[in-house]
Amino acid sequence: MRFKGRLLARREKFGYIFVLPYIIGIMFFFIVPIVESFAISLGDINSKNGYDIVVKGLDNYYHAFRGDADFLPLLLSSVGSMAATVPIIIIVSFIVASLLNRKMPGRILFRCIFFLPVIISTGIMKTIELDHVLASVIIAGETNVVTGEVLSSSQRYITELMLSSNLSPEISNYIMFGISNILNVLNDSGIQILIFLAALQTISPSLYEASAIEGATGWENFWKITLPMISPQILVVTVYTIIDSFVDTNNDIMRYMYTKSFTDFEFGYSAAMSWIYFIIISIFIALAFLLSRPIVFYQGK
Amino acid sequence: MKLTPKSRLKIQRFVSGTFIYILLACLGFVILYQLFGRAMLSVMDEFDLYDDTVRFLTKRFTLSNYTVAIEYMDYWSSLAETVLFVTLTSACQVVSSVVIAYGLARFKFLGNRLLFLFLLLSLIIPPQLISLPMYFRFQYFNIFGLFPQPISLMGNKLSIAMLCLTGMGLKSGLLIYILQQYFRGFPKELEESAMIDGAGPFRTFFYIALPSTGAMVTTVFLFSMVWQWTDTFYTATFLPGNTLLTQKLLGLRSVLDFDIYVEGGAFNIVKSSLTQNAAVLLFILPLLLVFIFAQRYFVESIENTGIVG
Repeated sequence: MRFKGRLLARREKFGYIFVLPYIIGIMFFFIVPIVESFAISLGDINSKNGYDIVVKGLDNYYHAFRGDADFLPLLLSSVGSMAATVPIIIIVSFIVASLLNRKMPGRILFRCIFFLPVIISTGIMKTIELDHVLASVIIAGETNVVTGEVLSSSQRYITELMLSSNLSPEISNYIMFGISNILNVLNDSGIQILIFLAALQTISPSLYEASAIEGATGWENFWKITLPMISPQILVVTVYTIIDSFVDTNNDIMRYMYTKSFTDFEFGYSAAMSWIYFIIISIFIALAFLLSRPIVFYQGK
Repeated sequence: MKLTPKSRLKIQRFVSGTFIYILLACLGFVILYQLFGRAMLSVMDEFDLYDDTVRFLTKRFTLSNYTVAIEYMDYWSSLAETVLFVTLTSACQVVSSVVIAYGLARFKFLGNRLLFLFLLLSLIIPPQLISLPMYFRFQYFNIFGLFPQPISLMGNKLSIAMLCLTGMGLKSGLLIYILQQYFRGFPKELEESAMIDGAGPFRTFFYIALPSTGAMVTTVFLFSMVWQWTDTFYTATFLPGNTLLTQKLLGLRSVLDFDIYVEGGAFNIVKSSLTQNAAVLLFILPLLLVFIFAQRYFVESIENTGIVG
């Protein structure tokens, strides 16, 4: 026993060899840059030969909130669009996943199609838009599917339909926003759909059988079985979507920071903006965890 | 006619099934249409766009958009360079991610949890936050004080290779996380019995753990390839002036504009847009081919990853 214990203890040390590259990476390409970035945000860089970081104080942060007319609006619009799209992405990807989660011919094909955006709508593909002159040639009906905008008359028709069925204007506007952005929403929910789909498949059928014997309806099944069982994945998807939308190098604020540092060479100011941005991301993720705590149900706990 | 409960259920199933089918088909159409529309446009002639009777289908089929795009992007040589670059960086990234993930998942050394914490942190830190110090780090590269004078690795692909090898490349954190969760869920017994038979940790890793991860490693490699292929952030920051396909695609517009406004060549704005559209398809085509042949890996193995549980 003692021998085995020692053997194991010696074995654990080998772990360091496996993670050695990561330790180097974390040190030199993560911790040091983070500390440096914070130092830069408090001052500026002096780069003639080699580079020196000049620490001055909180000027850059002050400038971000008081001096720069572009930063706050961009920040608010990024956060706002994130807050508006994340719920839609979660709901749509959940609906699609539960539709895909039944036996039907062509299921594999559908899964591939809904996953396709992960390939055709990442990185550079998000930035390249189809020219409007070209888009007008392939408009389908009244909906410009390529640019994702629903043209006015059908928009009005759907809105009227929703209002006449006693939906409040806020909700109907929000749904309209989702509909008119459906292409972008679907393009951003490839991974989410798969996560939900995998989660739905792990729910044991015996739960549904038992509830069927008790005479539960599909509606009750959804609220009492499906939703609690996949609640951990809802949290995962929420956090993933928030990060994905924030860290996306194509969103306006990210591009603004990039141009500030690599085009305008305002290094200190750009670093300060990144820090403000990072703190906001952290707040949102922390909120997601805190709010989900009473809701998320972990099996076996 | 009176329906038996059984046949009523059948009808109900049929109706709801059809409804779901239609809904899925509509949503799938929205996704496919962005490619389909571009493909239709790519074979159109300039005059199709002036012609009001043309919708979707061209009346003057032409492949000239493609040939012009290929010529102006220097497509084939750029494609070869991109394939080489992406394959190598993805290979570096995957090899390092597998090794690191195995170390994190299977060994309980001091600091393991701390490293895992950094891993999670690296997922949520915007690349902008550290890109600037990293830029200077590679501009004046002198890690460990190895060289008497700092050397510049800017524009040198070594910089990206180095990031990939140390688990700090593009989305490396996510890859390591996925693999780490995978190794964790993997039964330990085989490795333990190998250890009792006297195999060291490396032999256990190479002969027991690694062979069983084939599908997972393929998946992670494919994901890494897709991300690297479409990435502009890392390549633009660390390889300024590179000739990879992403840069060719981004630069195509200004090349064509130059032709229009300065040289007064055979181009105009419409033709330039058509060429750019064809260029987008040429750019994404290799990825689509990979996806068609390897869709099983992309779609199925998310279910085996740790993201789910």
